[in-house]
Parts: sequence; C-alpha cells; structure tokens
Amino acid sequence: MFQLTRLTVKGFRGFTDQREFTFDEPVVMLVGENHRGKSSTLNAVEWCLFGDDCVGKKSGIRERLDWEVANRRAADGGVVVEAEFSGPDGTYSVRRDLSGNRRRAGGSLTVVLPDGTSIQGEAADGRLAALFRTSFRDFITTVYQHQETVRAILTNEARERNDAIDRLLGLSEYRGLLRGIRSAEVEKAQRSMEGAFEKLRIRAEQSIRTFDNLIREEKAKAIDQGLRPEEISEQEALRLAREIGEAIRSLAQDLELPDLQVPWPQRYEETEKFREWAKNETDGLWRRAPDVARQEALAKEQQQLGELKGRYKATKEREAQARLELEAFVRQNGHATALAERLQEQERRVAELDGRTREIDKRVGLMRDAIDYLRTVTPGAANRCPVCGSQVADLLTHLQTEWEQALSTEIEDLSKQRENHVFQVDGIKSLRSQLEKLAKDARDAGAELAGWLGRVGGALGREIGKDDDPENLMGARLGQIDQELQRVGQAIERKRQAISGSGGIYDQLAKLRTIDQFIRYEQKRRFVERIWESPEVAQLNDLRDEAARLAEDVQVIRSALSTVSREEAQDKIQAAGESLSEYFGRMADHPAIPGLTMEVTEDTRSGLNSYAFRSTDGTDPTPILSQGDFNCLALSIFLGLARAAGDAQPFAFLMLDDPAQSLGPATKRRLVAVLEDVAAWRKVIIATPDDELRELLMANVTKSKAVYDFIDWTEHGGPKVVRT
Amino acid sequence: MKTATFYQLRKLREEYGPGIFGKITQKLLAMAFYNAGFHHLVERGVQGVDIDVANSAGEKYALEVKTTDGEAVPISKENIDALAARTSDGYIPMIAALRMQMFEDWILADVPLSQLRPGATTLSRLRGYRVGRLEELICPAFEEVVHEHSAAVLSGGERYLIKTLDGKRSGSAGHSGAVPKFR
Amino acid sequence: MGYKQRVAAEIQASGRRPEDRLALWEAILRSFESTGAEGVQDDLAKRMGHIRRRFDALLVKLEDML
Repeated sequence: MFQLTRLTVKGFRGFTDQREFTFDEPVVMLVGENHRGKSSTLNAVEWCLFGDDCVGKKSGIRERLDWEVANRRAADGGVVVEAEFSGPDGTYSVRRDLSGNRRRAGGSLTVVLPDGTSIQGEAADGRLAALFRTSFRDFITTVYQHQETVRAILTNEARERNDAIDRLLGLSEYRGLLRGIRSAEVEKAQRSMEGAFEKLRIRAEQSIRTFDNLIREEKAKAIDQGLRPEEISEQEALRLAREIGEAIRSLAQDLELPDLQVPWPQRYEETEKFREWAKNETDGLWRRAPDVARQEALAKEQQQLGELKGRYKATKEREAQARLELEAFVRQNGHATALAERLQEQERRVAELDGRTREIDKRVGLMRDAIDYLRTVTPGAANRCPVCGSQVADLLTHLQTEWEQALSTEIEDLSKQRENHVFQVDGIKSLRSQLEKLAKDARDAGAELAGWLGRVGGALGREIGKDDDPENLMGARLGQIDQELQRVGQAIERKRQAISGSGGIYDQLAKLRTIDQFIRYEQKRRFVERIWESPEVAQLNDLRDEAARLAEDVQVIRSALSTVSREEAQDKIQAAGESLSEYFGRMADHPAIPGLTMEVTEDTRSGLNSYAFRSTDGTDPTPILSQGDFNCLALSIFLGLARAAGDAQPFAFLMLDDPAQSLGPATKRRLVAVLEDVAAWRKVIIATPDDELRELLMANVTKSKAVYDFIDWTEHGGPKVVRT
Repeated sequence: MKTATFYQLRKLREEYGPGIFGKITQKLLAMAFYNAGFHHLVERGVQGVDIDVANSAGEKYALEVKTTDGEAVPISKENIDALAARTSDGYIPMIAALRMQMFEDWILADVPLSQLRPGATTLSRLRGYRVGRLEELICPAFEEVVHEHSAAVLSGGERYLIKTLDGKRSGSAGHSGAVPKFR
Repeated sequence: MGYKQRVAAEIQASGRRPEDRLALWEAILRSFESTGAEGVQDDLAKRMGHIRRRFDALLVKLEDML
C-alpha cells in the first residue's frame, strides 16, 4: 500500500506561493476558516494523481465544470504539485506541472521511482496507472470523500441524493453517460421521423382515394354516355377519334367547304390535341358554312326590311296627316290668296277709320281750344265765336254740349270700329301664319316620305314607281325571306344534328373526353402508386430502419449502462453492508433507527440508480432523517466502502473534507469515536473549519496528530499556513 | 403492399371483423411462407406460437402474427413464453406485424427475447430488427396469395383457408417426410 | 473488469449486431471522456441528425412528386 508522506503545492487553485505539507502522523488535520485553501490542499493530491480526470466535465462532478486549476495570480502562471508516497520499495514522487497554456488541465506528469528513475509524459501516465491501479472513480469512493458529495446528500430532493450517492459509490460516469444519452432524445427524433413519414403516407393515401372517386365518377359518366366498361380504354379512344375525324370530314363536304386536312392521332397521347382540333374545327366549319351564312344574311335582311317597312309606314301616315290638316284649314279659312284679300280689306278699313279719326281730332282740337278760350274770356265775350266772330248765344254751353254729346260719341264709335277691324287684321294674320306652317309641314312630310321611298327602292333593288305600293312590295319580299329562311333552317338543322344531335360529333367528343379523363385519372393514380414503389421511398424506408436501429442500439446501451451501474452499486453496497449499518448506528445513534440497509433499484423512466434505505425493521427511515443523519449516512457509506476495499485499495490513507457538516455536538463526539477506530487501519487526513471537531479530535483520538492551521488567505500570497 | 391488395384485405376485415380477420391474415401469411418454399409449416389457432416455418435450407422461424391499425402491437407474456419455447428446437423467434393502412407492409422482426417486454411494442421499434431478406421473399408472396384467394375467402371464410392450406401441405408431404399437423 | 468492459459485455449479450453496438458504445465513451455528458448528447444528436437530413431531403423530393 502507498502512504501519502509529503505534498508541495504551488500555483494550484487558491495557492500562489509554494507551500509544503508533511503527512507524518496517523492523523493530519487541516483546520481554519472557510476559503483558506484547506479543500484545495486535498484537491491538489487528487489533481496530482489524476490530472484532468478530476477536472471539468470528465470528473462527473457538477461543481467542477468550471474549475480553474491554475491560480491567476501565481508568478509565471505555472502550477506545480508534487506528492510523495512511501511504498513497498521506497519513496515514489509524483509531480504534475501546468504552465503556459492553461487549457491543458492535465498538465505534464513526472514520476520518480525509488531508484531515482524519472519517467515523464505518457510513459509516466502509464506507470502511475500501473503503480496505483486506481481510477479517479475509485479514489473518490474509498479514499477521498468530497465536501460537495456530502452537501449533495444533505438534500430532500431524491434525484439529487441519488446523484450524490452514485458519486459516492464512484458511479458518476454511469450517471453522466445515461444523462448524455437521455438528453440526445434519439427516440424522440425517431418518432418525429415516423410522424413525418406518416404524413407523407396519408397524403399519398388521400391522393389515391381522391383518384379512386374521380375514376368511379368518370366511369359512371361513361356508362351514362353509352360506353361499356371495356370501351373505356386507349384503344377505344383512338377508334373514337378516327370516327370523329371522318364525321368532320363528311360535315365539311355537306357544308360545301373545301377538303379538310384531318390530323389523325396515331397514338393515344395525341388524342387530347385532336379533341381540341376537332372542337375548334367543327365550330369553325359551322361558322363558315354557306347555309349558315345565308341564314345569317337572310335574317339580317329580314330585320332591316322589317324596320324599313315600319318607318316608311309611319312616315306615310305623318305625311297624310299633314295634308289633311292643311286641307281642313283651307276649307275652313280659305287659301292664302283669300286670306290676303281679306287682310287687305281690313287694313283698308282701319286706314279709313284712322282718316276719319284724324278729321275728328282736328275738330276736337279746335273745340277744345275754343272751350278753353271761352272759359277764359269775359262773360260778355263768351258768346262770340273765336273763329268766325259770330255771336252765338250760350256758345260755351253749346260747344260743351256738342263736345260732350256728339263728338265724344262719334270718337268713341270710331274707336270701337277701329278696334274691331284691328282685331280682324290680327286674326287674319294669325291664320296666315298657321297656313304657312301647315303648308311647310305638309311639304316636309312629303320630302321625308320621298326619302324613305328611295330607301325602300334601295332595299328592294328596284325603282319604286308611282303606281307601286312600297309597303306591299316590302311585305312580299319579307314573305319570300320567310320561306327561304324556313328552307335554309331545315337544311341547317339536318347538319346540326350531325354535330350536336345524339351520336353527333359533340356527343362523340364528350365520350372521348370522358375516356381521356378516366385514363388520365388512372395514370395519375398509377403514378402515385409508382411513387410508393420508387427508389426514393425505398431509401426513405431504409433511413427509417437506420434510425430505428440507432434508437434500439442506444436503448440497448442505455439498458446495459443501467444494469451494470445497478449491479456495481449492489456489489458495493453488499461489500459495505454491515460496516455501513454499524457506522451509521454508532454515529447517528437514532433512537428509531437501530440499523440501516441500503438498496438500489432502477428508475425506469431515466434508467438511473434509485437508492432507498431501510431500517432494520423494514421501514423507510428517510422521512425522519435530519440533515445531520444524512451526513452520517454519507460518512457511513464512505467509511463502509473504504473498509470493504481493505488491502485491495492501494492507498493507505483517507481524506475527509468537512465531515462535520450539520452535525450536533453529540454526533461529532460519536464521529470522532468512529474516526479513532478508522485511524487504526488508515491514515486519516481531515479538513475542517469546525473548531469543536478539532477540539474533540485533539482530545479523543489517541493516535498522534499533526495540525496545519490555515490562519489566513490573501490574493497575492495564497494560504498562510502554520503547523502546530 | 399494392393498393389493390390493401383493398382486398380491407374488404375481408369489413366482412369478418378485426378478430377473425387476424386469423385469416395469419393463415394467408402461412400460405405465403409455404409458397415461398417453407414447406414445413405449422399454423396454430390457439395455444403456442402462431406459425412455425422451416425450409429445406434449414431456416426455421417461429412467428407471432399481429395485425393493427395503429402504431403498436400488443405482445403478451404468453407470446414471449411461446416464442422462447420454440428456441430449444432451433427456431428463430420473430414478430410478424402488419399495419392495416394503405402502403404499409409486413414487418418481419427478429427481436431478441431478452429485449421483449409484455405490453405494447411500437412498430417503429420492430423496424430496428427487420429481416429484410425474408421480407423481400414473403411480402410479394403474400400479395399473390391475397389476389388468388381473397374472393374465395370472402365467401368461404376461415374454413376455406384451412382446407386450402391442408390441401397444399398434403400435396407436398414428400418435402418434409411427414404431413405436419395443422390445427 | 472496469465498467467499460462490463457494459461492453452486457451489450454483447444483447444478441444482435454486437459489432455495431460495441462501436457505438466506444464512440459514446470517447465523446464522454473528451467532453462529458454534453459530448455524448452532441454525438448521438449528430448521428440522428445525419439520418434526418437525408430523410428530409428525400421527403421534400417525394412531396414535390405528389
């Protein structure tokens, strides 16, 4: 067995300057407050022996993921840890350096044998492995109990506790591997692929079903159209196409159109194009057919002539009406000459009356002047006529009387007569205007009628004489058109039957289209089926199989890991068995738990180990265990395994980091009693910040002790350590 | 498998229901194996492994036959025990699973018995153990058997298949040296 | 026997394609020893990813054909 005798640490974690530790007593204590380098001292032994196996992800210790090996403030950035071991053949020195590139956490190794031989590099790794025959896993199971492990056990979370116990048993790697495998979610990825494939399959299936329905529909349509099931074929399509071609050629002849070039389809694939040609050609022939053109021309003529006849008739009626009105007027009022004569007469009379009125006006003027004069003269002179000077008795009165009675009456009478004659004149003038308008209207109507007559002649293609009845002529022509339309219509109908009647070209084209559709759907359906038989689908299935094999292989490996991990745990638990129960009983001294057994099962969901504890009465004690009890449990497992390892373990020392976590005074005393026994078969190295534990160890452990007091720690100087 | 085969099988299932259909499919599969050269054939309706097949080249398979619409097949403890019982006679235990959906086909999987657990086993898991060579032989043979016999099965049911299978094997008794029992 | 060998023996006993499975186990170990659990996760995810990429490319092609 190999005993740790000396340790030199420089630049490692909390250490800057070099420090040396001698392990020359059965019990060595590293004491002091937290963060002073006690744990780093123990870690240095570990790192010296195992390099990067105890650092980062490889360690399997979560807290070590971002571990820094080199102290940032160390002079020249170098790390040196040297451990000396006394072995069967003498002193072995193991030195690990880390300088320059800090990323190589493992550093470089030198092993010096008792005979002075120095081995370096890979050879040193090999020699170390051969010498100590211990993996990092085994080391932390039976030599060095980590503080982190104890802390992790002191938890109520079953998962974390199982994790910590696995670590304690040196089974972290299994756990790490199983975690990694589980996180890869290979089965989930495989399921996702299966899901995607299923979507594709469903899509293909839906296509097939859709085409099946369409094919059924087209088949039913074909049967309705008179086709037998066996006629729904490419062969039949070609035969039908030939029939249609012949029918079109015959139609062209019937329609007296020049010889047609039919693009006979030679293969089924040409029938679609042929169908298009047949439809267009049939429609085109029809439009160009003489009968149809004739029919269209006749219909146009019929329509135009009908309109013309209507217009002519209306114009004729208007002209007759205008003439009648003019005649009625003349009968009633006389013609223009008579009106002129009457007007002249009336105007003459008005002029005459105007003359007489002027005469009277003269007398009236004289009369008025005389009256006015006589009114102004002296009464004596009032009887003398101002014109002739005659004396007239009561001349004024006489003049006034004549004015008032005779003249005014005459004037009024003349005025009335004049008014009457003027009224007559106005009346005759109005009649004259009316006569002029009626005569113009009659003339206009006549001119319009003549215009329409010209058009009728143009429409009928002949002169319309005055003995001709244009309406009857038009009527006769319309009758001819009717007859001819009937005749042409009958001829066209016969030909139309050949196109769109039952069994006609369109009918045949519809059948051909149905066959085409049916065949096309069948082809598409076959295409989908062929896709499923394609190399691509075969490759897809191969990939599904590949994924299934990978998933199954991973599952087998996972299962193997789980089984082996559990078996190893069982072996170790069995080995530690009685010691575990004994140490727990002694340390915890729980009144309700006289003894303890541990068992391991598989967590079927994760494949990881799941640990359970049983009191000797068969019950589960964990609900009543305190934090201190869990610590005792952790210590019991560790000490039990260490004891079970016996001499098979190459190292003759144990390292305990802060073993008194959560322990009360009595439990600490009991722990010390257990360590007293352990010291009989192993050197014990304890790191603790607990003064009480220190005192108890000093007072109760009968083996000689060395104490390293970590009294301070500074950033530049590292730990300040004093040996007492 | 081709859609035509699928439609024929579906018709049989619609006619007879899933339970009888399973038995019919089993017999059709047995006939496919027979036609593919596995003239030693035992097909069981009740206890024991569903089908034992062997050919003159010495290949021997014991098959548990399963049909499903879904994505998993139920494997019982009895199935596993029955398969295990045949290994002592040199039969390779296999699961023959058919998913009754369009474009699916038989999966012939030799899952190690140690990897089988009672309960639902997904078809995707069985894929990891497919014996491609055997599938290439049996799947086309199965399609031919379905085409040839589905009309008769539709009218004659299981009895027709029992008679036909018996008839085949009694016609080739010379191959195996004895007429295998067919139950 | 170290745990690696024990697991290998268990895998061998599984009865099918032992060489492939052992090769996978060794690859998983290599990943774990170099980059821990995450390395294992990445390695396996990469393997499945490689299959998936080829699968998806074919899927796209077939979907276009349909």
